[in-house]
Amino acid sequence: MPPRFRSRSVATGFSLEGIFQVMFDAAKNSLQQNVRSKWPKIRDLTTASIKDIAQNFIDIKELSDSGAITQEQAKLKISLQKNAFQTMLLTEKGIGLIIVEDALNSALNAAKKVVNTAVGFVLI
Amino acid sequence: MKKLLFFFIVGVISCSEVRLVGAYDEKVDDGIQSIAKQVSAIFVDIDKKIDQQKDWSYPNYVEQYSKIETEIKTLRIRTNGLSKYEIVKGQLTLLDSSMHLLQRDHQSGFVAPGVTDVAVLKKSIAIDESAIAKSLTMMLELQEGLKRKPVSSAKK
Repeated sequence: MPPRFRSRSVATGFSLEGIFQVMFDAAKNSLQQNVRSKWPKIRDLTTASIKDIAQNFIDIKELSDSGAITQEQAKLKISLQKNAFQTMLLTEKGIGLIIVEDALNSALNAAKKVVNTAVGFVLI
Repeated sequence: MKKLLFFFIVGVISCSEVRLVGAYDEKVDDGIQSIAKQVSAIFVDIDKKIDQQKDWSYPNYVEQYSKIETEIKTLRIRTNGLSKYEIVKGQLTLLDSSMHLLQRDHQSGFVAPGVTDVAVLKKSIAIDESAIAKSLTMMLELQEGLKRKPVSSAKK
């Protein structure tokens, strides 16, 4: 009888659909929370940065057109703006990956709980 | 079939947690903050010297620029030893490039030869300062995002 008992215990609440739903819900909750908490700050910072960089491009053109800066200086300044923009994109990429990573780990943790509950002890 | 599924899922789940980006490293964060401070100090000093009509030319800042370059190089070496740090490494490469561009602009005097208008000079410097400040702010923002991970797991 013990093997049968264990088999039933494992089967209780343990199906592909069930575990998928638990993992999906955990990932969804994590994504929603992170998008709500982390994304607005990054979005605001990005928007402000893009506006500043765009304004800098206009200022560079004005200074260059008026002869206040040389062509070489204008090129240096434009390269600086490009570097700032690329740095901003890398930060967005990093924060995006952190959000996805949190969602995946939340799903895995939720699945761990289901498995441990199904076997009746802390297996993983 | 259920047992097979069970062992498969247990196998997958029991693997260590998913890691897409390297963990927070306090020394990298401190290093970026230190660079931000030193860059700000250069711009504040240049601004003051322009107002006081003192010498703000490049040779007066060689040592400060050199210190910043050294710090960036040290951070690049440190991040080479950290796993999944490609994004931060990319940002440090861009910062290194920006510091070289700034130095070249400073060496050239920030404005065309013969331009003496202080407002124009300050505007030209402000454009550079704005770009580098943006870069550093975004780098520190990423460090903030990385902070939710334990420091001990940052190393390979």
